[in-house]
Amino acid sequence: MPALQQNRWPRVPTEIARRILLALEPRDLMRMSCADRRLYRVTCSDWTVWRTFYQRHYPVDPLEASWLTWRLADCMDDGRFRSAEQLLTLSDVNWLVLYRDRVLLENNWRRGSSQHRQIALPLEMFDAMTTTAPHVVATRAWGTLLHAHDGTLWLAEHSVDGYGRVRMLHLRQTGPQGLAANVGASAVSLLSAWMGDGGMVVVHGRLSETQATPPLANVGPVDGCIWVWQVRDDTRSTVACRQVPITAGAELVEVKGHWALGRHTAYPGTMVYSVCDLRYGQWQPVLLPSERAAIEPCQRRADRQAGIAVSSMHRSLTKDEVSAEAAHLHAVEEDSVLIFQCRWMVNGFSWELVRHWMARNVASNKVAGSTATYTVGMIDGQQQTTSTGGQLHTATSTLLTDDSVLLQYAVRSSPTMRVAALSLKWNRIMWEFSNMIVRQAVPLAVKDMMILCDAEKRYRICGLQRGTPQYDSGWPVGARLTHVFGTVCLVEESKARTRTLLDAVTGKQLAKLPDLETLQIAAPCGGGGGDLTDDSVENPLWQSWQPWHSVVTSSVHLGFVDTSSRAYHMLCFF
Amino acid sequence: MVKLTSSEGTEFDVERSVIERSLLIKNLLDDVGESDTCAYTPIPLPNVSGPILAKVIEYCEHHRNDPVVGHGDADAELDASGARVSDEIDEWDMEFCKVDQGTLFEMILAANYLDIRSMLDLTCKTVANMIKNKTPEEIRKTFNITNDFSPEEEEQVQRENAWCEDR
Repeated sequence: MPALQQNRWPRVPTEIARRILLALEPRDLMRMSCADRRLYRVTCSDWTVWRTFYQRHYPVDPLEASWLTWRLADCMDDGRFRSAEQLLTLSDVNWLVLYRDRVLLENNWRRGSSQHRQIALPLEMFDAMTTTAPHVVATRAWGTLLHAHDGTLWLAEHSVDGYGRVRMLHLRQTGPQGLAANVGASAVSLLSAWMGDGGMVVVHGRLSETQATPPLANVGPVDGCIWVWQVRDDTRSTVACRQVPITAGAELVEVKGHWALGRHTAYPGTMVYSVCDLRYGQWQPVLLPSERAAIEPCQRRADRQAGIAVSSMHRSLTKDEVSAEAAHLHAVEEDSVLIFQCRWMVNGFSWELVRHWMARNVASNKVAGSTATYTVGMIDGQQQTTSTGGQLHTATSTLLTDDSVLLQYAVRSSPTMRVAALSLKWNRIMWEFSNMIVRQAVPLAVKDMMILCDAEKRYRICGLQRGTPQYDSGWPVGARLTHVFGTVCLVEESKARTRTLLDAVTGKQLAKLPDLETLQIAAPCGGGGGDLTDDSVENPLWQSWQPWHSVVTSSVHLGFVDTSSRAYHMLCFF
Repeated sequence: MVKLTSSEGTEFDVERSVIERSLLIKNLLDDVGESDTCAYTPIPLPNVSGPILAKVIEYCEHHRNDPVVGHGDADAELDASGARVSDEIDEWDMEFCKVDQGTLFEMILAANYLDIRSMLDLTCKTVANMIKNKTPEEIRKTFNITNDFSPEEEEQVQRENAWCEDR
């Protein structure tokens, strides 16, 4: 090599420079950027490279999407939430900053390094006569849903810069027919609630009895309703509300994206699952294959456009249909949804992946029809690792990866619960535990690992695809896994009242979080909530607050309501 | 056989099956068809010098039986989780890339021009390996880069990039 050589970089075309940069790690790029001004420009201004790094290191899963959609909405001019898939196509976004912020977020979690922020809550959320504080129902990076003592629902929105605001979620339907609705009738008895990454709040409940007086036409039926709010629908300030009917006794099983899965008892012992695009509010029964089709593993396509389009969840099974024992939303897309459902049959265990497409009538903004296809798998009696067999009497299914599902089930002939990983690709049980009641199953897709927790023990299972689980019970006994973000697990030990951060891969302790009860909580200031009066702060009844059991966690914060300062307090890791 | 002419006019005879690793030449030959014209009419490559064309032919000869990687396989180097498959370079390829920097960058440009995806990957990876785990000063030294930052600017850039060193 000659002693003095020419600097070749100025002659390297952009697309080749990009190819070289993509063969490096972000740290190398950052060091390159310090070499000279030209390389600074090459490395720091090519956002396509940083978007690729982002996708490579932080593939979008629900937790990643939660952070990314919130972080990006805050740096977009219109402030609207976009889906993670939409975001990954954007090239005019500074992906270097996003990548950096994502790295810093995980670093902060690993170090237990947080900032204390608070959002003032309005006075009417607290009952002055008792110690009743608003109950935190759900939280996400972008906001927290609170249920006040009088049944009203409130949304505390968090922004990246630490600004927060609180507003009541009214039950009135927006739009021309909802303008004259009874604004005061906003109290709900909650059955379940969900918050989506795209600013969607979904509440399944009944109108509170005190509020259930006419006129209620625009508020919802008394015996059960789903209310859907879309935050930042058009602008930062908009909250749009829609009502989706659901029959009494039905259960809202899961919400993912704008899709909801409901379960309804058709007649004793059987369940009917229905799916709903919450944007349009019409339920469609999930396609059930005939008994013959389920027993013979095969691919079937059924165009049910005419027969399946019913507007209610009520539906009786036809003679040859076999009801599903467990189901979950496996994957959701803009216009279609993939549902996993399974059941135990006489000759074995059968499952289907059912895809429903909803065809919309643009003029009426309603579902015009639905098409469904399904893939059927059958695991025969000999393949089942359960030795006892028997009829399935309880089952749940959870998405593990695109190609595998975690099943928890019990059969009538045996009292023990079993947990099994089912490979949809190979149609076989990959591995199984018996006598375990899973409280949590957290897949770590990046590391090809999952964490399984029962009441006392935690297992780290590696090599999901190969089906070769490795067990590790080295974590503290008695601790409860409350949150996983990236490579960090948050575990709580109730007796010792400690919150510890552990490395999800090695199980090694990273940091301990401060005891929230000893935080120096100042009187709330700013934040846009209700105003505080001096006498209310001093109410002695509010001093008995016990935060331990009411702390919620999102990908960016730990949060809790403090009655004495009447604020939503956050330990923010961003 | 196919005749290629480098930028200085040097002619190279090469088997069609060998040089067809270049998608540019393959498409050209496909367009011309099966006639013998191409055997007698040299294909001019004004952007590739003789020594670099010799290296290109050496590469294509060695890898003549490898599967061709096309543009549609842009994600082929990613595994199921989106992570890159091994950065390892095999022994022959490593020896092949032991050339001075000027030649290496010329090889990159030639592989890009001739559309030989695997050679482009190899040469880019070789440059990347020259950067990996080096300090800014070592990078400057490796590529003979003059530091044109003022001390204040340099300090600011280092401050901006500190997040990456903490990972």
